[in-house]
Amino acid sequence: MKKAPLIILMCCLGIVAALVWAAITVETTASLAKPHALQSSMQTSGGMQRDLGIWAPGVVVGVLTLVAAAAAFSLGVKRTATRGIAVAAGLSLIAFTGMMLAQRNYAGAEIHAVSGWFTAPVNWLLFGLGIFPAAYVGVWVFGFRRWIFSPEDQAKFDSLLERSRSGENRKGGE
Amino acid sequence: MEESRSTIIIGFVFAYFLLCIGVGLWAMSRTKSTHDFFIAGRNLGVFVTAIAIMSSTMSGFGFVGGPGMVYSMGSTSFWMIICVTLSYPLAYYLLAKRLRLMAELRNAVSLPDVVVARYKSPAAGGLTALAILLGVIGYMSAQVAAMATVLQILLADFVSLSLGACALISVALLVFYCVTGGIIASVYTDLIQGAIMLVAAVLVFLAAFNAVEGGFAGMSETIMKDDPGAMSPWGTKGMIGCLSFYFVFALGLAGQPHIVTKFMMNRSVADARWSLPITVIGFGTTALLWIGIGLAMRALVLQGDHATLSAADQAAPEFLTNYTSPVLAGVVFAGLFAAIMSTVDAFLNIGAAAVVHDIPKAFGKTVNRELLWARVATVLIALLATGFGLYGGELVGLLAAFGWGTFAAALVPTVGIGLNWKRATPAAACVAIAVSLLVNFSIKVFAIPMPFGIDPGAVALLVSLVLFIGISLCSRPAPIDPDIEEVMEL
Repeated sequence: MKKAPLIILMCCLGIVAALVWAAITVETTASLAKPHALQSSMQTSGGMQRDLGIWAPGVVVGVLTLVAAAAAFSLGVKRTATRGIAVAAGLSLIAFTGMMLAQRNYAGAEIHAVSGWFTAPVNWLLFGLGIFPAAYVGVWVFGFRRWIFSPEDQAKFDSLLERSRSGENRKGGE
Repeated sequence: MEESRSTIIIGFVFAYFLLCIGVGLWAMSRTKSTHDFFIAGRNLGVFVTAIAIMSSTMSGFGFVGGPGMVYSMGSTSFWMIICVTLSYPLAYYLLAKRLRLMAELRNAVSLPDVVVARYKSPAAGGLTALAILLGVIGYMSAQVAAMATVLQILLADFVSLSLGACALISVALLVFYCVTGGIIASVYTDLIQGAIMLVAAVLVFLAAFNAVEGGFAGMSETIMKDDPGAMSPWGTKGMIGCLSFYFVFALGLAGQPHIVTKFMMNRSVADARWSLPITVIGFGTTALLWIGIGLAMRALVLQGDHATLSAADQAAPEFLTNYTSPVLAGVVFAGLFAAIMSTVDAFLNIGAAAVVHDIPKAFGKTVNRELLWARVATVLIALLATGFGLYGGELVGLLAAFGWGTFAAALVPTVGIGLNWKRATPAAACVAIAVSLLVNFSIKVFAIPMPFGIDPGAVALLVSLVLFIGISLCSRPAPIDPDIEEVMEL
């Protein structure tokens, strides 16, 4: 996709803007870890209210990271793969949004509970954001011969290599 | 069995060392040219490439630092693990095809070779080689120091050796198989190392599950009661810090030279189709150890079932000593050496290429008898890294920090994006690499505090991406050789 670098640039500038926004509205050391009261080799979060104040900039940073990644993915494939990339990006965004919403509920709740092996937002992190982007692996494996490297591409490359080896192409380039 | 615990553990470690020597000797007969030495004659199969990529990524940090980080910070470091479903695919999408084809077309033996071919700029190639060399010395120094420390601890029951002697033993082994077999020995030992890591990770995960009552639900409950934030997705580090990890680890793998150069070694581009899923599943499996030990030890200490640890990095050794059988501990310690050595051997190889091939080339020179000098350079780099690791003091920490984030910031724009985007210019590549090195070093040297605990590598990556794309868009398009342009259109 020709516009992909421009999208990546806009996403990077957007991330910088979100960080500046957070830095001028919230105490920038508020979210840092605190030493554990009893265990010297451990840290604590110092309470979850710290992150609620920067929830919106956090959403912006996360979403723009995933959009920038999707744009970068589109650089490496043929244009026809755009739909596959969009589906994988959409799944990643769904997982990230689900995790952010679950986290807001978890941080705001008075009683915290474990759901399965972990807390609900960590489940979204590990089994959502950790697994949903694997759709990109699916696009790669199942669309490889159509969108990444077809037998026609191999033939074109073999022909290029042959020309290059015989010196024609290099001389032409110079 | 418990009374002979040390003997069993050291037995496993030495058996593993012997395997590495065997592979080195076998690979020696297959290494006849510079191409064999640096890129395995472009003849690696699907499985070997996939596991070599996986095991080069998982360094000693994954076996010691990773569990320590979970113990200390809760779920913060989960972000370094879950990003693999984004980071590996991104590296494959951007580089598996382009690097392989350009390498074959131009007979390239290193990443800077490809950069020079793409940008027609020896300066861009030289800067790439410089970034690689700085990172190599830094990464290796820290890994050699870690390897020597672990060996000294393991040998303590039998013989009292100085740290220097332990470093020399470890490095001598590494140098032996890297010098004799080059990258062929490196990738095939990677295969063995990867297999050991996988077995170790699964077994330790099961041991961790059983170490705490209630398994992972029990661990989560205990940690959450002490600090609910530690069992939130941000752990103790906080939201923006974790998201900066995600940014630099997810996007940054495409800039790790010791990993992406493996794409140049495939037998064919088509092999990359199946090596991606194998790599992702492999890394995900080894990461089980990271999560399992970290959570189990935090829960055990908080429950009062285990004494307080003096340092977070003690989490893994303490767990192995107290909650696993000697045989499993032996497998995991062999896995730890495997994790360290598989990363270091990859660095030795690209470091040697930078010294004897890329940097001279940037100055318009070529080295005669490159294979011989590559072997000499491998020994010298190993010795230099050992010296830094043992006697470098604060410089080691500085150089070690010069790792993932630096490679990501310096090479993702120039290599990851530049090989796929014809509008990218040589000037943009040079500025992006130089500024990213400057930003990373400045943050470390001047100890600049980052707001919200943002990872310095993420800041450097943001800066270099903006500069690279911005300068490329604002400057006149630079000519590209027709053959390279054709490859970029495939």
